[in-house]
Amino acid sequence: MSAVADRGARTDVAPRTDGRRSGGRADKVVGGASQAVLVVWTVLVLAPLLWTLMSSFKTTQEIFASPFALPSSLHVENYVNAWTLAGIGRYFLNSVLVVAGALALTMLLGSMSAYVLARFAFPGRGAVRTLVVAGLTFPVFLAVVPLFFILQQASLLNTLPGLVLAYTAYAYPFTVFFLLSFFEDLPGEVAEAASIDGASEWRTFFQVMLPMARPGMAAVAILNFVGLWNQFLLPVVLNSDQENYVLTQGMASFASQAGYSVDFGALFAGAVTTIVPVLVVYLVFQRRLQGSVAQGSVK
Amino acid sequence: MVVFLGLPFAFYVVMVLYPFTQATYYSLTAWTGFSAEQPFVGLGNYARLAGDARFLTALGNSLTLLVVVPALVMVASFALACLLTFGGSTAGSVKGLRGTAFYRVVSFFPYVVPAIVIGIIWAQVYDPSGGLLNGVLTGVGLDRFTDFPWLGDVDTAMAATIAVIVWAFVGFYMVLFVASIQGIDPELFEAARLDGAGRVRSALSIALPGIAGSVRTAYVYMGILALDAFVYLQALNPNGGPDSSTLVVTQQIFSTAFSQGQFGLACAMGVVLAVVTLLFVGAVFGVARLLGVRGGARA
Amino acid sequence: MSPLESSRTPLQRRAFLKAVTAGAVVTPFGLSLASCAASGSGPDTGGGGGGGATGEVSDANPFGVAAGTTVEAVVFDGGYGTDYASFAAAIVQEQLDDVTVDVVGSTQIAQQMQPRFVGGTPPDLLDNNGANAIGLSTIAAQLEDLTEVVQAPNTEGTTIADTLYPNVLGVGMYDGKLAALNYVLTVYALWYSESLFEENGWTAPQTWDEALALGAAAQEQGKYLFTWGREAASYYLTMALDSAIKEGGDDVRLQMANLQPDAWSGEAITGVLAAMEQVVSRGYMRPGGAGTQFTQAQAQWSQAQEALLYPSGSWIENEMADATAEGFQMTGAPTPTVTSGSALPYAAINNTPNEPFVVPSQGQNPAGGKEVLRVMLSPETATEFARTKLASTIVAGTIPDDAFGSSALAAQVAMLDAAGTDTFNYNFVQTYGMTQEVNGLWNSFLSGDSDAATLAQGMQAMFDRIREDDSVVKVEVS
Repeated sequence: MSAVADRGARTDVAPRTDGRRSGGRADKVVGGASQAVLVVWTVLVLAPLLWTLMSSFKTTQEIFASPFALPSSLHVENYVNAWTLAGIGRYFLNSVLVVAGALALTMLLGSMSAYVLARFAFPGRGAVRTLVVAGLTFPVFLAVVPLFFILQQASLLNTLPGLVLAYTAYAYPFTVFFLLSFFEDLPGEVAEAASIDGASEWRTFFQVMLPMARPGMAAVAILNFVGLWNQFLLPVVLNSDQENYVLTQGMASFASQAGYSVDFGALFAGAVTTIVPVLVVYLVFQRRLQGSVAQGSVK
Repeated sequence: MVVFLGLPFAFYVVMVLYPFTQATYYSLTAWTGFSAEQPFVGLGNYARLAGDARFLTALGNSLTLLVVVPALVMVASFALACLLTFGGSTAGSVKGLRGTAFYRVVSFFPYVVPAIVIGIIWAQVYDPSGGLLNGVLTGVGLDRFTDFPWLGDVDTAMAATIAVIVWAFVGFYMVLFVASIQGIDPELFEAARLDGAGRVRSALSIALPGIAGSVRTAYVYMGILALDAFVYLQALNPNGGPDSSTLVVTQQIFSTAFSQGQFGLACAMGVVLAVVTLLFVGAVFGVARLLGVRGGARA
Repeated sequence: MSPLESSRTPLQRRAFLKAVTAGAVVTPFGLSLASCAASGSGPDTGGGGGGGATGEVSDANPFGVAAGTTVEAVVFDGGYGTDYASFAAAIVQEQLDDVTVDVVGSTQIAQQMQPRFVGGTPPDLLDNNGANAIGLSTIAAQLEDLTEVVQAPNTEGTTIADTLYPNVLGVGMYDGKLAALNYVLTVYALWYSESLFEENGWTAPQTWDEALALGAAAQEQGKYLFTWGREAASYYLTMALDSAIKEGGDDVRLQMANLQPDAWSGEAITGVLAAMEQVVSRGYMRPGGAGTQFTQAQAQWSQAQEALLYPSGSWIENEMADATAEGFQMTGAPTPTVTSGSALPYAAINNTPNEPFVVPSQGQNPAGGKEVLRVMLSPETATEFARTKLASTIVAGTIPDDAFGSSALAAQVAMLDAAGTDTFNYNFVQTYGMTQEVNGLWNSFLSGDSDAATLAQGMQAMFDRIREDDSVVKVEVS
């Protein structure tokens, strides 16, 4: 942890020139105030989440009775209810498969397109860019009827691959849009040098340009992951087979049922169940993530 | 280039642009959304929207979100990012506050919580009698907040809603900006400090221009999100809030399309929303260009 | 959930083939504007629907469901779940050779069904309910007339119409056609704790003056008369309408349901709103409702007992089962009237049934959809429903004297018996998709932010707007 902390805390390669001391006392006050701001912020972030965690172990009666009272005992049955009633396990697996597939495909297609749009001039480039941005602007739920028939025609309705394609298509404009500026910023000389060396377009892209755009790719991948993980309307319409439900669908139908039977304990437990795995993945990878972002940035 | 841009773009056209084009056509019809007849009404739907008080209220609220949410998120996340990167003691090398890594990890937490779950959690936090917020406020002696309906009072519903969206995104952009600031040559900070610049001046004259590209992209993304905001609003105030004070365009589109059976009219609202979004994106890029911002994460 | 749900793939494939032959499928590359997804198929051009192959008609199979066919029933997976439909499905499969019934649960009815209605491949039976239901008037023209079902004999040979509670089919009528069959009988009443009332010597208020007196008594004990939740502010509209209809008679109901220009300035409704304004201004409403999730508000009444009365449909007992105080003894009483000389007796009650089941004409197997509905309306399934859900279907006489030990269900039966034929119903709020706007107006009123006059004006303005909007399909109520 400490190595990471150091990397985060200090802008790397700090020169050893001694900074001018700008008034020790005032400096301490400002530092203290800053520290206080961050502590308050941390409390604001954590309080609702910890409260949710605590509530997930209470019975519905206890939740209604008092917001702060600790659970009388750990009502683990909330988790059992959420798990069995909502079938969260299966939906979770479906979500992982769909999101992983769509994320890989989106990043591949999006980065290739952004690369071309950023670095090559060709007639119609402006129009293509505008059309890409246009895709970001329309409410998805007005488009799902035609989309339904497109997937039906391709025999991909109610299948996970169909969902992967739909997810990819709707994440594509954002990905291209976001990556464009990263590719625009990359030094052109490197690519030129590579092509003079006789590297093919493919090799230039995958072995030279893509690694250089890694910080941007990391940021977009994180944004996309959450966007895809939260995707709700597309699966509702395009994936009505309960076997293939993804987590958001499962949660919605569960929230609806839990709301009707007023099982708030299970509702909170279900919420925690959807958060924790993602949080764990983040905590495991965040060092690498931060590392790659920082490393990319320093170049 | 065909493989890099042509194929992905064709795929995007089929899956995204084509359905949107269809929806645009629907906006010229009086289609109910469920029948086969689509009586053509020309621009009739648009004329109706111009005199539709409820739609105009929703549009006004959406524009409020568009103006306020990205601004708050950007300012807060930039300020926090500055504290973490060079807000620390001015003695020695430029560095952030102690515990940077911890704050950065914690701030990211809300981002891994699905939007629907964020809505569910905060609806509970705001509950007048059993919620965390009033529990804390009355706990410290502010008795006038006993049973105060944060989401049910015209004066506070919108602010409370905005707070939730800001809560959900500040951490992520903070992490993003931290990475970008770390990409700035540290010698610039050292030099500024030798010139006697304080933290605020360093932030405004070095950090901000240094990451302007990131801010621009983030601003666009937050703006688009604020114009949608559907999931949050449905969870917090599915009826559009007291006196429709939190009714947004996407909610109005949704109920017009599905419970009122006026899909054509809903599509017209969608087109209006798309135009607003495009104007917004254009405006952000225009302003950025005037300010001399170019490229992505790094200047 | 059950094995019944697992065999949907062949159906999808069939739907796909049908869509291809019907020309319903768009060509993605043909970007011409007019080639919209919906234009290819419809009631006239779309093949397949309208009954498909019919089997032999007999007493055991009055609609002639063909052997070897599949019936797809999409059931709203809400408060009552889907198991009662599966129960009926199993009986159908037992009685008819080689017929398969798939029961599929859904909470996103409109979103999932929309492309299927457009493409001409809707399910054979649909329970169109919940927050995401389709506005019924929108699809009424594409639905079968279910008169055939209520005129058929049930599984024991009695004509179904003769077994139903009085006056329960009206809300399913659209343009003279029984387009929807609302399965669950709902009694709208004031619910309260019998034990709490007995302890304090209180009785349920029969007029608004008595209600105000009860409010004062509640206040003395630090309690409130009513509580409400933001998504369910519309329950207070129902209470106000019921009270006004009882006070002023059936004309009031017709004025409201037909969105008449002066509906909200009548004497009866004005009297009710004036009384409710008093309830609000004297502080008898538990504060904070406009920001409270509705089930949590209901728990303030059923568990914390901070409020005495709650106006709701009879689903309330089932809904709050996990959040009701020990020994609560939930019971109900009719809505109060304005004066003791009301047009309808105090015992008159709103019994608008719920859970509208429809049979789309375009389905593969409408006869199968009707058959499932017929079995659901037969004593075996109706009794099973009452026993497991503690709620009555529209089939009368399925509830034993002990009401399965449920005080609320017993009260429901007692209220229905007392009302006799003095029952009425309406559902224009759902028909015209008004719920969202109604909740906005009523939340303001119940919080004290607006007064009776403002509320009446707002409701009337909404009525006028919808009535004069030609693009909204109207349902004439008589």
